[in-house]
Amino acid sequence: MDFRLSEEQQLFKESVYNFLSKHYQTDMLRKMLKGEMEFPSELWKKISELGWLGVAIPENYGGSGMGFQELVILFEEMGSACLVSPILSTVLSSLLILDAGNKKQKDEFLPKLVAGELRFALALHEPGFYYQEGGIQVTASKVQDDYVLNGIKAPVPDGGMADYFICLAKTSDKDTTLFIVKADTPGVTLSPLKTIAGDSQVEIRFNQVAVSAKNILGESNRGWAFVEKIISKAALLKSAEMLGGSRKTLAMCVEYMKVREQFGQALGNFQAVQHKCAEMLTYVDLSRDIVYKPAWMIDRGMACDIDIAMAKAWTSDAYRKVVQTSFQLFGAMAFCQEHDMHLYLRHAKASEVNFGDSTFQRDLIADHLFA
Amino acid sequence: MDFSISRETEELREEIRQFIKDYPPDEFPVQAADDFWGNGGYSYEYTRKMGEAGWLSLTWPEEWGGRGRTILDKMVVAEELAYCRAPHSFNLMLDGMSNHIITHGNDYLRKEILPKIAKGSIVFWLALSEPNAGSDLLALQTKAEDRGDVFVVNGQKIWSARAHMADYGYLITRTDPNVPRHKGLSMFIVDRKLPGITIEPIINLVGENYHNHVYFDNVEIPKEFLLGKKNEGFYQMLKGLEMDRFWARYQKPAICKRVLDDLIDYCKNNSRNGKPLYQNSVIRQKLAQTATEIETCRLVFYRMAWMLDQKVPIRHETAMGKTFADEMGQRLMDLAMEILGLDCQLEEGSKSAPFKGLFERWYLISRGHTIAGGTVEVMKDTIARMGLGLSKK
Repeated sequence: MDFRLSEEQQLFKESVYNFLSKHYQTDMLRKMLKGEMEFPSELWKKISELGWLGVAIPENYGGSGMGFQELVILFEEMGSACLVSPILSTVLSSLLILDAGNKKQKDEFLPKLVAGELRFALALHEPGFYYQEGGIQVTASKVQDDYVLNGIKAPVPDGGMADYFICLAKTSDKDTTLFIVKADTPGVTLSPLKTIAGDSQVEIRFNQVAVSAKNILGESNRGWAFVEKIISKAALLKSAEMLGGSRKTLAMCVEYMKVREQFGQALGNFQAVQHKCAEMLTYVDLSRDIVYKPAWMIDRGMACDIDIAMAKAWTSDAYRKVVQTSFQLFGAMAFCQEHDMHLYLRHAKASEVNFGDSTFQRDLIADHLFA
Repeated sequence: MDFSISRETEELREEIRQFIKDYPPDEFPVQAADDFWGNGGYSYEYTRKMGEAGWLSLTWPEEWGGRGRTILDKMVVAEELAYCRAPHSFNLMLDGMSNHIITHGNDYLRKEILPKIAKGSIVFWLALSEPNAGSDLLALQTKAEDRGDVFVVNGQKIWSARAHMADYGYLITRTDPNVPRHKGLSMFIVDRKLPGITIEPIINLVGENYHNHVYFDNVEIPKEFLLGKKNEGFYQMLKGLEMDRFWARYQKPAICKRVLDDLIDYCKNNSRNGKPLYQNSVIRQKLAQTATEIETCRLVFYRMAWMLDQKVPIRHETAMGKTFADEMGQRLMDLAMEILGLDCQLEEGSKSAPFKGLFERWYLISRGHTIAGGTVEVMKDTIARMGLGLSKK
């Protein structure tokens, strides 16, 4: 056992931290929240140049061939900075194509995705869907050799900037299939959605959208098998973000508790405050290993669905509690738009609900316990 | 990071599993029932068997008869023992004691006491708390007067666990009343049979004698039994605290895992109002939450074991682990009682008491876990100060 990051990992972590400190400010997020700005293309370019989009993608597709642990390091730092970006959509799409795609699809899309030249969005969610195949209502009907898509996907993260969607649709009574759909295909209509965390999401309407059978990702009627795996990985990356977010929130709060004076002394001198801080530190500290262990397991090819479910269940609750407690301790200051605390409050809720909240994860764990 | 368990450690796990198979814990008599820390009470016989097999001195340096194994190794061994509720004393009483004696003891004490601990032939009690010195241990008043060859001890200790069956006590006393209160303390190993020691039982909430009052009336402790340096007892104790808190709770995740597995079995085989318990979504949610907490807790204790092995300084981690483990155990007992329904009331000996009344008992006695060895409130003070640099005015 070794609970340290390796030297290379530590350097990578620092480089991510340093880059974000220099090039990303929460003021950008405030603007995105108000709809005054989209994720800056200049920053996207820099991020792609740094190789962040291809961390866990093999070198022959332009990635850096590092492991999932490194991806988790990246997402932890992104969460800490409260970076709201299309990185997750890109990384998940790449991993999905890497897993499910044929050679042609991998050759065509992966290098461009990694280079930040193409944007993909995962069109999974639908009204009434919560990460189970039975919730999928969008249909793909077979017309001769090809397919026609109909229905609504929403909310779709980063759908507005995407060149392609990866859309999960019903292809039989009980089976689903993944399709790669070009965003400008006739019959596709987008409506932007405003979101709690300021990330860009859209509703996509598919009205008689023709898709070639060549654009099936993976196999016909086997979409869910691939989606299930990518949802699990997404849950782990969200957990990493939440680990970073909770760590940062606590650090901001404690720093303030040491300087803010009331009743003639620092708030941090009061035991009522100290005990809340101690509880927060416990949540944060216990988040670390539960997140890094499944990443390590993925890198070793070990099955870890339940470990990830535990990580997501734990960090979802931990981040929410830490950010709510910090908000309370900051007092009225936190209620201002100019203060960062509401950004983390927003980020925590969005991260919690995406890719399965703690109740959903505990259902998975319970299924496993009673298997 | 690397979460793998080394082959050497896995071999040790096999070794302890074989030991457990050879000496089934159920077959041993239990003399003291302070269970659910990570053990199933205390058995002289079982502890001696463990001693014979070399388990009690596993982590000691070879020069003191140990196997020189890591704390991580020991944690793996302890997990196996805890899971089967072995009635041993592989915890604070012996691990903490031997650690203090190896670190601070003179050669006389090391030669006199360590082999007995290793064999499992002696029982220790902790003579720390006093009627007016609980969480505020520094308020302790018991005095030890230096008379050259002996120290003469007068005073009173309370909550002395197992003192009535112990051979030796780990005693902290005031040796200099004229200095700030943390400066004049000294540690001793005290032979319980010394004249002037009187022990009175405290009967606990489940009717058992586990704790005791211990009175010292002009007890003469030979100077060789001073543990470490005179007047430096408090500093020595602080140094050992991180270990003590670790030792006191590192088996908790494993013993909780066993309870969880028992409850899962129970839910598979029992119904309420015609519906199997395992289909009850609230119970499923709570069991899954417990499984998650046990895994996070286990990992944080592994991290601590690794830190102690690597000599990475402990700040708040052991206080945090202790508190989390104890509160987790209490939540688990709440859940156990909820799952058992009306039958949760049935005590040991009642017809049809589920799990022979074990969880009813643990529900009651686990309330003591967030009090003993540092209350949750004191631990939170420690976490805030050591982990976050917050301070008192």
